Amino acid sequence: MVDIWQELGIAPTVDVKAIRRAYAARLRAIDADRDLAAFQQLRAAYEAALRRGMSRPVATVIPSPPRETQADDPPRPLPRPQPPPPAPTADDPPRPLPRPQPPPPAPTADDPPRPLPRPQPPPPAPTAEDLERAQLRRDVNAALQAQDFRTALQHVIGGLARGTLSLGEREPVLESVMPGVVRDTSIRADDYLSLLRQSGWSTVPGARERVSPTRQQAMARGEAELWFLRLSAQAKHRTNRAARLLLRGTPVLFLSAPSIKELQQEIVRYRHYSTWIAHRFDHRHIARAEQIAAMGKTVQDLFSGLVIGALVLFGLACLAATVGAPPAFIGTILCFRVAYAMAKRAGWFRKG
Amino acid sequence: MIVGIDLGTTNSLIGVWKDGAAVLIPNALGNLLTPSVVSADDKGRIIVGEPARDRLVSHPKSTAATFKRAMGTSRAIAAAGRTFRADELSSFILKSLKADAEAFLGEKVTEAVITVPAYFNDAQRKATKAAGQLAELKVDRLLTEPTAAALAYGFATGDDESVVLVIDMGGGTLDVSLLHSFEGIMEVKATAGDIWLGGEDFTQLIASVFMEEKGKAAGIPPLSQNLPVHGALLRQAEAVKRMLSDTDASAIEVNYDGRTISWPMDRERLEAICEPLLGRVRLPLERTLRDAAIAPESISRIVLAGGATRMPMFRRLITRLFRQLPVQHINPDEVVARGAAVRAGLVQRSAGLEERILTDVSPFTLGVEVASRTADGTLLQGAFLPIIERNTVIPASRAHMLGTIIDNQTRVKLGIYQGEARTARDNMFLGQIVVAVPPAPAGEEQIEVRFTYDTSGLLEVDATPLSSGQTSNLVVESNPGVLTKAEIAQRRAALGKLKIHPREDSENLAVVARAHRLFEESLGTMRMQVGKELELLLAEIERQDPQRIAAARDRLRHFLDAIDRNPLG
Repeated sequence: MVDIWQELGIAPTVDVKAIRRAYAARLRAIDADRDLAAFQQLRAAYEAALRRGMSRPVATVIPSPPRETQADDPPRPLPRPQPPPPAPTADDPPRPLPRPQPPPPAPTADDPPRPLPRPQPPPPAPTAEDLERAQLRRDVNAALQAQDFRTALQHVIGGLARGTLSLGEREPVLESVMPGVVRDTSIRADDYLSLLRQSGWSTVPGARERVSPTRQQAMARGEAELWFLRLSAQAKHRTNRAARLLLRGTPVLFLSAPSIKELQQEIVRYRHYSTWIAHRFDHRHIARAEQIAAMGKTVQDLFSGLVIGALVLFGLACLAATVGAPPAFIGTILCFRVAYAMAKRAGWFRKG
Repeated sequence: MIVGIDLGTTNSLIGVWKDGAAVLIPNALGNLLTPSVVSADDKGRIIVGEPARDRLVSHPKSTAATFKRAMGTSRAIAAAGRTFRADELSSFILKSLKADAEAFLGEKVTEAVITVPAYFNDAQRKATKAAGQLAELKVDRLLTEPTAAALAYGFATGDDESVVLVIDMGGGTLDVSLLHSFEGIMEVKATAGDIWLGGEDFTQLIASVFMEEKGKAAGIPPLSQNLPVHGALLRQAEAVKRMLSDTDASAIEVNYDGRTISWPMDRERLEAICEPLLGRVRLPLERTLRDAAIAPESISRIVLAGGATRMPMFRRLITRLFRQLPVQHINPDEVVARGAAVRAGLVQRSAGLEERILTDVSPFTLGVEVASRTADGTLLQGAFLPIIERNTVIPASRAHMLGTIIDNQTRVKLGIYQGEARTARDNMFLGQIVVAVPPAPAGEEQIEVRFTYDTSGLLEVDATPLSSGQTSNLVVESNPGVLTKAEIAQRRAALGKLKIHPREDSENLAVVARAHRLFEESLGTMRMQVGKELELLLAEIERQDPQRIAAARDRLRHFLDAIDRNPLG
C-alpha cells in the first residue's frame, strides 16, 4: 500500500485542516467519475489520515455518559435543563404568543444563529418550556423512584417526540432509563419492541457509530423478543410441532426428519436468547424438547432400519420367487430401489 | 443551454444560471411554481400545471397528482382514460417546464440537472433520468435535493469550514442530510429520510380527521372513493393548514348534498392533530447524526427547504431539538431549484462561479444474502451481509470473500439486496448471479465478491472464484420499474402522438378550470353567477378574437379572485 502521506502529498501531520486542504487539492486533480481507482486510493488515504488527526479528542465525538448505571444504583436525575432557544427569526410570521415569554433578542435574518453557551444559570422567569421540562424531569424521576421503568421510558419518548428533550440529551437520558427497562421482565414482548422502536435504539447502527453496552443489551433483548414473538405466532398452528413443544410442551409421538432439524435449530436459538426470555418459558418443556431432539435421531434411525430391512427381505423373497415366475424380478428391483432411496434420505451414506 | 429542474411531488420549478445569479423561470401563467399535476380534457389532450390542479376537484378520475412517489415502480396510474407510469407523467411536467424555459430564454434547452431526494434508490433515480429522456432532455447528472439547498445558500465558498444540516420536507418526502463543507468541497456525510412523510400527509390527516368527526355524520362517502367532494375537502384542508401558519383560527367549509358543513379549527387543535406525524420527524434526524458521528452541538447551520417546513410547529420542533435557529431566508419552496440552477451553471463552467466539488454517499446499504453454520452444524440461511455500508462516500468499490458451505458444491447463488434489515428477504431484491465453482470440501472454495457503486447510482457486481479466476459480472439495471433504452425510444414515440395543449392556451385553461372548480364548490346564486361569467368567456373563446378573449378572461379572473377570498359569498 502506498504511504498515505505520499498519496496526499504532505508531510505526516495531525492538523486536520492541513489534511483537508491537501485532500481538496488532490481531489481537484482527478476525475472521480472516470478514475475510480485513483479516487478510492485518495479517499482511503484521506480517511486514514483523518483518523490519526482525530485521535485527539475533538468536538465531533458524541460525549459518552460519565459512568455506567448499575441496576441497584439509585436512579440518576435527568440532566439539567438548558435555557430555552431564542424566539423565532425575523422572517417568521408574527403571531401572538399564548404564554408570557421573555422578549426575544430579535435577531435579523442574516444573523448567523448564535450557539448558546452551555452552562448558564436558569433564566429568572420560568417559561412555558422550562415548566414543561421541569414537569418531565419530575415525572421521569418519580417513575424511576417507583422502579416503574416502563412509565419512565414512556415519558422520555414523549419528551423526545415533542422536543422537550433536545437531541443532544437523548443518549444520556436513555442510558439512565434503559438498563431498568431491559431488566424488567414484566414488560410484554410486543410492548418492549414498540418501546425500543420509539426510543430510536432499534435501528441498525451505522458504520461509524459507537454502540454503548447498554444499547447493545437493549438491542439484544429486542432480537430475543422478536424471536419469541415469531415462535408464539408459529405455535398457533397445529402443524408447527417444534414451536408448540417448546412453548407449551404439547406432547408429540413422532417427529419427521425436518421437524427434528427445526426443533434442534430452535433449541440453539433458545439457548442463544435465554438470558432475556427464559422467564417466558417453562424449563420442564425445554428439558423435554432437548430430550426429544437428542432422541429423535435414534428413533428415526431405528424406524428407517426396520422399514429398509423389511424391504430388503421382501426383495430377496421376490428374487427367490423368480425361479418359478420370472416377472417377480421386477418386485426385487423395485424393493431394492426404494430401500436405497430411503437409506440415502436417512443419511446413511453421508460421511461423518 | 443547461437548466436546473426541481421535480417535486407537489410543485416543480425550473431555473437557470444567468448573469452571475440563479434565475427561476416563470411558467405561462407567470408563476414560478408549476404544480406537478397532469390531467386530460375530453378530447384526450394533456393539461399540465395549475389548470390540471384545479381539475383535481372537477375531474378527479382523469387527473393524476403526487406521482413522484410511484417513481421507479411499474405501477400504472390512471389518467385521461388510459394508464401512465410515473416517469411518463413526470415527462409531461418536464416538457412543459422546458417549453417555459425556451420561451423565456429564447434558445433551445437540451440538457438539464434534475434534483432527486437523497433517499431515492437506484430504480427511482433511473426512472427520473428516463423521464428526462422522454422529455428529450439530456440528463447527465442528478443532484440530491439537500446538496442543492446547500448550494443555493452558497456554502462551500471560501475557506470557512461548516457542518450543515439540511432538512427538506416537501409535499411527499422528508429528507435529512448532513453536509460538511471545506476548501471548496461539499461532502455529504450522511443522509436519511422518510419517503412517506410530507406536507400532503398532514393535509390527508386533517381531511381524515374531518371525515371522522363530521363527514361520516353528514353521509360523505369514505375518502378512498376519490369523488369531487373529496377533492374539495383536501383543498380546504390544505388551505387551512397554510392559513394557520399565519393566523390563529380558520375553518373548513365543505358543500355536500346541498348543505354546508363547517368545522372550525385553530392552531392548537391543528398541532394536536398533527403530533403523531411530527413525532416521526425525529428518527431520520437522529439516524443522520449517528451515522455521521456528529454531536448536535457541532452543527453550524440548519437549512430548511420545502414548503412544509413553513409550518410553525415544524420550525419550533427543530429549534427545540437542536437549541438553534434554522436558516430560512431563501424561500423554502424555491431553494432546491435555485441550487439546481447553480449546479447547471457549474456544469457549464459559467463565469462568476467558484469551482466546487461535490461528493455524495450511497443512501442504502448494499449486500448479498449468505448462509452460515453454527458451531453444532445447524445451517442458518437468509442473513444479509452488507458489502457497501450506507453513507459510504461514492464512487466506491468494496470486496468481500465468501466461501462455499456444502461439500462438493458446484454452484453458488448470490442474491443482491439493498436495505438495512438483518434478514435478506426484508430488504429490496436487486438481482442475482449464479457462479460456477469446482467441487471441493465446504469452505475451501473462495469467491471474491466486488461491489462497485458509481456516482450516477449504478451498481455493478463482480464475482470471481479464486481457483478458476473467471469473473461473472452483473450490472444491476433490469428492474421492473425501470425502462430499458429500447423501451424509452418506443415510449417517446407513443407519447409524442399525444396532443398537449399549446402554451398560449394555458391561461384560458387555468381560468376555465378554476371556474369549473368554484362552480362545483359554491351554491345558489353564487353558482349561477360563476356559470354565467364562465359562459361569457367560453363564447369569446369560440369567436377567437385574442383581444376580446383576454378582456373576458381578466374579468372572470377578477370575479373568481373575489370569490376565492370570501368563500361564503
